Amino acid sequence: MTRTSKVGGRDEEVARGAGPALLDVRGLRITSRIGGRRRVIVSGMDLALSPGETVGIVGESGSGKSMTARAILGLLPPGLFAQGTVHYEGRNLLELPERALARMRGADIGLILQDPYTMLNPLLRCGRHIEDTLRQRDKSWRGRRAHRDEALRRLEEVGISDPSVADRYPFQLSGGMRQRVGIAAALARDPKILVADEPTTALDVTTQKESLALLKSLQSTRAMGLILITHDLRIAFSMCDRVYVLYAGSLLEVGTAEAVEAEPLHPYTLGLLLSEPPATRRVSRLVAIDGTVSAADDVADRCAFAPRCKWKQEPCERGKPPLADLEGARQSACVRIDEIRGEIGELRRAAERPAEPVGVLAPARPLARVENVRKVFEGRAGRAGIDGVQALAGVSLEIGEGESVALVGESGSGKTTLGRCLVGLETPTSGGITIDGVTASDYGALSVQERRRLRRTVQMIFQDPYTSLNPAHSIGFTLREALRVGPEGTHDLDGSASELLERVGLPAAYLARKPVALSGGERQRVAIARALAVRPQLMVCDEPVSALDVSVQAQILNLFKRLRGELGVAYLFISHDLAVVRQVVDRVYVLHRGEVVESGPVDEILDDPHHPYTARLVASVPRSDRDWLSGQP
Amino acid sequence: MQRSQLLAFVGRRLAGLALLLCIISFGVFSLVHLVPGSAEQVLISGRRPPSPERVEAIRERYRLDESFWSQYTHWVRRAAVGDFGLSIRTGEPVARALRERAAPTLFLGVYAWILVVSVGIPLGVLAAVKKRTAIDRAAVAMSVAGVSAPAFVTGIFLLYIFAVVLGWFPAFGQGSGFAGRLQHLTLPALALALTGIAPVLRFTRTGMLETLEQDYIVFARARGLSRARVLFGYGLRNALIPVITAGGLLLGILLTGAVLVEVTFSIPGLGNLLIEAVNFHDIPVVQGVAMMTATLVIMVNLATDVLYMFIDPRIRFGQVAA
Repeated sequence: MTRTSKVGGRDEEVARGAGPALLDVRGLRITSRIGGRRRVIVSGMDLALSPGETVGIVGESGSGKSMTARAILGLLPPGLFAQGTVHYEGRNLLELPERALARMRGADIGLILQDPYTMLNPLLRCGRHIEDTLRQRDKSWRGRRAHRDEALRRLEEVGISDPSVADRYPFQLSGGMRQRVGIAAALARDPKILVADEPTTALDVTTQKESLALLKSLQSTRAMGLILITHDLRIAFSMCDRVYVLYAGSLLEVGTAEAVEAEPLHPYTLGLLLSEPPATRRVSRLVAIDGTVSAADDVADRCAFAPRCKWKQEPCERGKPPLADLEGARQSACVRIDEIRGEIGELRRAAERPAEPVGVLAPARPLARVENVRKVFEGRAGRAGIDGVQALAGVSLEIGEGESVALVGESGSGKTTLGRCLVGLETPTSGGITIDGVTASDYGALSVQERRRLRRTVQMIFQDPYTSLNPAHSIGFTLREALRVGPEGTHDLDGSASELLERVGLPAAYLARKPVALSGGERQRVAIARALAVRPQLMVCDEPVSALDVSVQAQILNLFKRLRGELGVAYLFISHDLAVVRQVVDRVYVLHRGEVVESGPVDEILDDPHHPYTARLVASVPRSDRDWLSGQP
Repeated sequence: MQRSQLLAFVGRRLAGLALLLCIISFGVFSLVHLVPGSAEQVLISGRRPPSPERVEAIRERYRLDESFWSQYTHWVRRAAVGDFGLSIRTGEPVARALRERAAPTLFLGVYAWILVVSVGIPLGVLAAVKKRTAIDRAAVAMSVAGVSAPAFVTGIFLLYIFAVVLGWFPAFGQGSGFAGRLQHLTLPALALALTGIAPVLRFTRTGMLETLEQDYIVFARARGLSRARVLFGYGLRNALIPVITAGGLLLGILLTGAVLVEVTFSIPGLGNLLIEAVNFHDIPVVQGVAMMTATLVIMVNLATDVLYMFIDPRIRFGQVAA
């Protein structure tokens, strides 16, 4: 591997910061060796962090961002190996023995993981996690009591003033609270650097904003170096001084947050920015990046983005392009950046074009009506102290023919429960559901014909395309099975199946494949095709894009918009993501603790929310500007 | 609140277990009528034809003139206080035989159990930590050998090497006094333990491997926690949850193993008693041994569940269905 990173540029960059680099990563290369086969995971990462600085590593899944974080702390999983240098206080961490590294972890460099639900030991009380970290600092003279007092103080620092939290087990706390406990435990020995690996991805939007604001304030009061790893460019821009854009194991662009946001200097960064659905307006079509993320190993010897880049030319595939210095301490790994810079700028400006008006809301014939639906999940029988949980507290809504309606809310709002009631996966405790003239409150009480008619009228798309397709069956089998119960009968199933695939933008050759050979976006397309097989009038889509990468999410959102135009199908879009909702629906119902708190046309609700909860949701949508985190939650 | 929840849980389980014991006892009692021959023949046996008085005594004792149901309730009432009648072979009360024979078996079982736990769990941890190394492979290979060789085979090997060739341990008998017992029962316990170590080692290894991949282990290491704390406080504690479940399974293995081992080493324990009883069609003794074993298995399973609650707070607080 010939990798020529421009050292001159690096020094300049560091000089611009608050002094010499606290952490200096150069030529970090991570490879896996499993069964004698070597694969590249990260093919050359450079990163510098000054004291008190926040840098962001932005990348989609498979970019190698998490492995970079773990390599810095010497915590790579077995079978993965790092080469290059990671300098901290004059020592190359990659050469340190495990014993010395262990002494450094937590004391010099801390780490927070993505999932607060799995980060804490389920068998230990929350306070013990912090005390465990503290005990590593001074085992000798401090007693348990002192550690405990200190743990309570640390919890207060992360905004938990209730001392009883220290005595609770992780499973008794919400995700946001667990994340706070995790942050307190990670910072208990006051490390100089904190690596935060997608710290808020698993949290609700409002909690995400609070957690990020907390991290930011802890970072600035301690003048701690923060490496924030995220897939969300908006979050990186609002939190970080500088950003590193990573794609399929290669570093593609480096620059200050302001500069990169103002003018991306790599086609991939541009693509990411354009794929991001704007929360403030609707665009007629999102500019998606074609194709799917390549495996790092497949593109280790060329520009990692070349397979998906519309400006690709022969030099892009001749070798791995090095990061080249540009003005203003910026770096880009695009070999053609000088030629295409103008075009990138134009595309960026074109995407800023004014909003597309939301379709006129002619009162359509109602297709589905939900009236005062309540759903109580019974507590387990015979167990004292656990009452039923009320998921829906009397919800009413209406979906017109061909209309696209969103059900918006955070986890626990009851939005998924309502969606499942509509397709008969749950039966409401009380209240009425009518779909296309059929009473659908209790699928079990329907006649066979009525139930069959309902199943043809309503279909569901699930959140996780990795579990919603049967891995044992080929795509063709799955589609033919769905077609057989459809209105078209059983003639020429293969032809109909290929048509379905074509409709969702997949080649007919996929009929023979198994789900395992498909990417997440492709699987979701198949799931949509399967739902379309019975020619439904209403599709209940439960967070259909939240498990997908941003660049793929845009493709699927465009598909949803196109299908509605072509088939006139109505959507009930269940989502926590207001930016996504903005792009695909006409009307919004905001659900909070099982009640609709606000509803109306999407523009009115999102531009001028009346209910405080809606306002909080709107304010929680990540924005690129620095004021996002300082604003009121 | 918590204590009352625990008591309620144990109460519920005990009620369920009582029902289970009733069902088992019904099956065990039915043995008398299921075995070929009339109940009198079964309960008297012997080569000489019994005297009419003897038959009458038996009919009286087992209420053979009354209905099946009344025979059963009568039998259960006596069994509940440990009275299983008289042994056909020796004419002694079954209860006395059980008492005498239980002591060496209990000693053997506990001894083997200690060996299993103190060897199986550490070896399992070691194999997991040294995954894919020679140590791991050796430990797994040993456990495969242990589980595939029946206790009487390993027992004979051990006998030959340590008792015959080296002469370190006695070859048979149960010895007297604690030290004597320890010395006499070391080889049998070892033979018995070898079959039990395999599953415990495997469960520990798998549980540990799974646990070591968890985020909370990475997070613990990232905070600089000592290796011992990460391995035992975070790793083993979580990994042991499935191992405890294997406790009931282990008991089954040890019980069947004990029968074979006692015969191999001529230990006058419950296993030997059972074999003798079966050979002699000594139904009252078979019934006694069966009921005693069933009760033991059920009690150990209850203890496992309670232990579970103490280890895993999620179960204690009713988050996961117990």
